[in-house]
Amino acid sequence: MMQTFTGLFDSWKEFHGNMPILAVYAGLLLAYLICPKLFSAGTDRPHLPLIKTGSFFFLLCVFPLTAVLLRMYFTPYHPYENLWSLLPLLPVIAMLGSLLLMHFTEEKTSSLTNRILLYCLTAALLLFCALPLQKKENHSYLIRDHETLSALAEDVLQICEENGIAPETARIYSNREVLSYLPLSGTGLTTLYTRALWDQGLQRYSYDKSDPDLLPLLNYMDVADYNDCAFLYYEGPTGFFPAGATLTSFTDRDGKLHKDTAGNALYIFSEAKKTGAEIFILPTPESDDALNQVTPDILFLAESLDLQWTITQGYWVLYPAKS
Amino acid sequence: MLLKLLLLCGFLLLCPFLLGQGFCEICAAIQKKKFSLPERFVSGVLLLLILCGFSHILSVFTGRNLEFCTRLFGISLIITCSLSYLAFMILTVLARLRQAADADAVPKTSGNKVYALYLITAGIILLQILLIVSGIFLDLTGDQTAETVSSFLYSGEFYSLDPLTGLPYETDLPMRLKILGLPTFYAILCSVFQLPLTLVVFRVMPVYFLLTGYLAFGVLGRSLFPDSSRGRSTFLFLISLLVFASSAASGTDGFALLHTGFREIALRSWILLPLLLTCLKEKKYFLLLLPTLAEAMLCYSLAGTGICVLYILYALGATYFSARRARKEAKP
Repeated sequence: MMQTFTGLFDSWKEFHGNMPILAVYAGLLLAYLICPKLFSAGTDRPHLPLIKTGSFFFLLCVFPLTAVLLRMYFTPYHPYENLWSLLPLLPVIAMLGSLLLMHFTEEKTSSLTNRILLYCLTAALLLFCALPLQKKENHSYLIRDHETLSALAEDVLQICEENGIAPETARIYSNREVLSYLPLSGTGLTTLYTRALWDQGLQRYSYDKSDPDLLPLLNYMDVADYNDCAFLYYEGPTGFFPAGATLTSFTDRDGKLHKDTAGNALYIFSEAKKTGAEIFILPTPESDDALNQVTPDILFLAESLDLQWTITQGYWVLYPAKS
Repeated sequence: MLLKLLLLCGFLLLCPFLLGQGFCEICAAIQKKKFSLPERFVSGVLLLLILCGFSHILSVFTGRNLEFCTRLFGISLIITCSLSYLAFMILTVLARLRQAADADAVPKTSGNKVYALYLITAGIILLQILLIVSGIFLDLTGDQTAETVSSFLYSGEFYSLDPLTGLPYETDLPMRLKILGLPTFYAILCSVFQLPLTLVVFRVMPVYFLLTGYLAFGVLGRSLFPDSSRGRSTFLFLISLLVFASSAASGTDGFALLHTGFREIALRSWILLPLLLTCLKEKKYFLLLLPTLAEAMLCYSLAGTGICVLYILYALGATYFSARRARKEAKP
């Protein structure tokens, strides 16, 4: 219980200072408290209940004790920042901002130029808040090219059908972008690892069965993707090594470090196959020269793993031959 | 494809219009309050989601599949729309027979011409629509709504496949997730209109919710600035800017709307909350049912327990204490 409480308090401490828009919210409420005359553009003050509500919930979220209690009320399945959705952030800022603007731009006292200038300044100030103070970490992988990936998924499905592979059981090993898209394709293709491996937010779906042991495989494919498949260049008698040597070691399931096989594509793919991968999808290099250089290596890889290969939608697809 | 898209847009406009008209007319007859057209439309959108939520829950509890749920939703929608519009017609005729005197009760505006500000706001909204449609802001962090919809469409059943791996679940899902109806609503739209999931979930619905949200904020603006058109236009102008301003950090309204407009969190802060605040301020207590129920159907147990309920409890407490204070002050 105490640990939960401490954890929640720590997350509260970490999160504060990350949202300039909250500063605007608090600043406007404070300004109303200090100088309500600035916000007296309305005659019968129909905005007062909203200000009271906004202040009440703001205080609830700001004070650690009430914030922790609220977090408990909210259930622990989602992050602390979701608590801020409790605040009427937009309504309160927009309303107080409108009252303030109306006060300073009264037609009797303010010229048209002044009014336009003030509106522009307000807009600039608010848009300034859109600049994040801290770079957001763990940003989700974005799927950009839906059309290509959709066509790829259809092609892989066709390959499965032609070769007697059941799509419900053929587990695919590929890079993040492909694996992020496949569950959206509606083809029923299954994947070796899931988005939950790199997206911690998905852990609130406690039922998800992501195997953390697959993380080295995921990292390896990322390196391949990042280096434009350069890892597949043949560089020695023992196998394939990454050209940039980004991956310098590989730890197996037992925690044993394999320096000799570091970055060995054949080794990694064999491991993936042992884990259950049946179809491998690799992005092809963008330049024709690189493609020509890497193709013999892919042929060697396919032969060694007893797989057939084809190129579709800018990807190599390695799949088991029809039995 | 374009025809199907137009049909979907027609459905998303017509059904809420029919549902909202009748429901708000009944509320108006009971509470003697007036409801504007945007208010009726927003209520209709919530009713549509609530109907889908009921169909989903009924299907899940009776162990039925997506096809049954779609039929149930379709039938209930036809019946509700017909009854709602019938109620609207009858109540409108009755009201007109009774009196036509309320024509003078239209809120007077200050007479200021604020078209320029509305025009700028419309430009900003258009920019937001373009940003959502382009997909450059799309963020799937911590959410698997679209994958869940895909698994529904593929298997035809609810929560039988793990949305991320595509493999069957080894253990049964907790009920807190099974009861949520938003993925079912998307799945029904995709299957009925035969449109790609990525188009419906990542493009059409965020834009639809964005526009509905602006209507909800328009209603709130009318409630906050009943006599000032300049106040209303400035309010909407600032709201449109605040969407960008609050998009820097996750958990805020702008971020939810621009990056994850299809999620329940965006729906709650962008549509449910402004409508709830309007209802509380205008004392339209009967209409409070809609955001509360919609939240229970869509967000409860996944995106935070009962924000609407918290607001209602706060309003009840505030009313109680102010009444008590008034009583004390009234005593000699």
